[in-house]
Amino acid sequence: MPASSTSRALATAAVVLTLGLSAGTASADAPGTAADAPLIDPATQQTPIQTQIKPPNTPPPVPSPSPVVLGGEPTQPGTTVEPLTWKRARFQKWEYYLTIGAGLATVGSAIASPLPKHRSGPILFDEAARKTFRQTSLQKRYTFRDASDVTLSLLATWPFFVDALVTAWWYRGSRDTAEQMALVDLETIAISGAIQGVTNVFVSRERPYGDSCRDGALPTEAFDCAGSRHWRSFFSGHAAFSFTSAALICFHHMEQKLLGGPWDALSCGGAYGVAAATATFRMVGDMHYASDVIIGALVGSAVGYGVPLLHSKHPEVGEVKGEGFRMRIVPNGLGAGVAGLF
Amino acid sequence: MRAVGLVVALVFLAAPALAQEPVPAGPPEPPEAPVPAPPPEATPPEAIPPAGADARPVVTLQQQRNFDPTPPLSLFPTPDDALMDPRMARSWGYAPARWFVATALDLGFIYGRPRVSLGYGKPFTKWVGIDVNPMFNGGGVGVYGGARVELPLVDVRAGTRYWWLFGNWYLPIQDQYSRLDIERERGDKARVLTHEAEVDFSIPVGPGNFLARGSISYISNLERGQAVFEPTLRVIAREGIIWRGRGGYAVRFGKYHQHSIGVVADVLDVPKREDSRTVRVGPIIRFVLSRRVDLRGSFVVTVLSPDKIGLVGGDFTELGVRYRWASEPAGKPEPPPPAD
Repeated sequence: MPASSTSRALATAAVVLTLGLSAGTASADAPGTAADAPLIDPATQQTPIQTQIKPPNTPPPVPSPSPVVLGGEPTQPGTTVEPLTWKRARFQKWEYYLTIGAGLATVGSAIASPLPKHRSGPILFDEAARKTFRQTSLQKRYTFRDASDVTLSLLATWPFFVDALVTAWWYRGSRDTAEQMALVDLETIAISGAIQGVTNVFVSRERPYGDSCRDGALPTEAFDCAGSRHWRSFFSGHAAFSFTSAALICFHHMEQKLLGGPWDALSCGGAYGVAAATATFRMVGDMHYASDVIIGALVGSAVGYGVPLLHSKHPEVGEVKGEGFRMRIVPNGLGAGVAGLF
Repeated sequence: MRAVGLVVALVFLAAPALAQEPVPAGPPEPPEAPVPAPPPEATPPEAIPPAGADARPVVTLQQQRNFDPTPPLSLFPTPDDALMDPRMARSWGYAPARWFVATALDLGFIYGRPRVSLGYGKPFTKWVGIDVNPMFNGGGVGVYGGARVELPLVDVRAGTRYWWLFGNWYLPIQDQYSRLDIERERGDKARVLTHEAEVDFSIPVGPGNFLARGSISYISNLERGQAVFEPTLRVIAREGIIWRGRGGYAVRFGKYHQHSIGVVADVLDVPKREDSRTVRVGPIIRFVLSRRVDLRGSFVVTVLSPDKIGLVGGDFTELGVRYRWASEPAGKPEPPPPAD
């Protein structure tokens, strides 16, 4: 590459990265930034935290009553739940762009038709698994497809509505942690959707029931045979999204101890159980081969753990600094990439 | 299978409440969110009830005087609103009747139903006005507009709804329909014009509320020999009347009795179709997190129907969030009444 092109590329990277890093370094793990500044109580000219923390350097007690957690209701000392603290790097500005881009890629790939060069037929153990799992009655296959939609819906909404909104925000009274959880969840699911959608379009694999469209068992004008739905077998979006959500549920429950006691382990195990059921229902409903759902589950789990883990507790991890340059690992729609500032 | 899913969902939803066991008050970390500072005079020690006393919020005379004189007017909860409304007592219903604009946005996987209401009275409590309600889901987009009167125990509305469906086509007249019948491309995509009147009751009885709903709908834009899947009522109908009745009971729980869980049963009939009676039964759940935010779930599945269309025929909104907002009167609002 000529030197001028190199420097132009580096300059472009620098501009992009400067935007990202300046926003990121300002907010990462930096309590007391403008966004986090507590409000000043006009009555006391102190922040609410200052009002409650006396003297300094003493571990602040959980407000009892906690006006947030318990709605200002007096309660017995020692019976209040502890607020949560976000333990990872904070969601940064460039991640909004990444999330939006991944979301657009997800929607775009759902609209775009799969490539005309199709792949058909089972591989490896697909045929044996299909004989084992597939329901013979069309009506029952529809029932299992519906069931997979229900379980997917529950799993996809759980990290947002139940874990972030109800548990972290409302029950634990931790608005900031809830927001960070929800943002990371959104980013993770968007990336998972982008990977799944783009793969769908490029691989263009025929669904297992494809032969039913050719031999007349299904009418050609049925949704299953008409349009592009027919060619979106690899890999399973239901499996990918379900396992992404299950991984997010496990990650947050295990790291934040959202509910405590056995409830975190139960949440994690339950989420994986429902995700496994979702993937199985897709095979029973003849929507996917076993290889489709296994790859979906693996990709979903990898993204579901990988993206939150990339929000390292120590932002310098994954970052290489040198004289006049700084390089950093960043997630992108297809996994992870390296960005640099020169 | 569905029952297992429901039980799992309900157990998980109940987990936060069940997990409210005492946590040792060791050296906790500081709260990260700005916590609203209690007023200096708030909750004097003598106002704190002994352990085991009634769990209702204590509102002292001083707190009434200090009642927030500048209610948040922003669209989203402000930091000091902290999602959970302290005392759960402040509501749009405490301010005097006035002209107002209110919104309620329902979001879930994957649907959205924003509603805009213009009216006079106390929003979400006691008012008269009009509703405009765009809708979208995986099967189409629609809009509803109509008049509404909401009172504490009864809610009456009448209006017209129009759906542009991109996942449903006009259907031929048949005695029964299968899933394959409604998932088949033929002719033109369906457009559904429905005029509807509905009355809802929610009457406190015992530890919860008795719920009742009656509605009558009229589909007016179909040609002779056509049927259509009505995506709000979720039944297949011809031009003409559809009636619906719902009954149920929801138990209230929570410190402020603000949450509810219950069971409802729906009966629908399309008089122009023979043996068209549809019965649905299932649980509903509502977690009120603040005056603005509810978590809602509806899992009402079809148990009796001439058609075999699966969950498409159920009132199945699963988990969703409702976000409410309403304009508030300028000036100092009335304080909430003290608890006893």
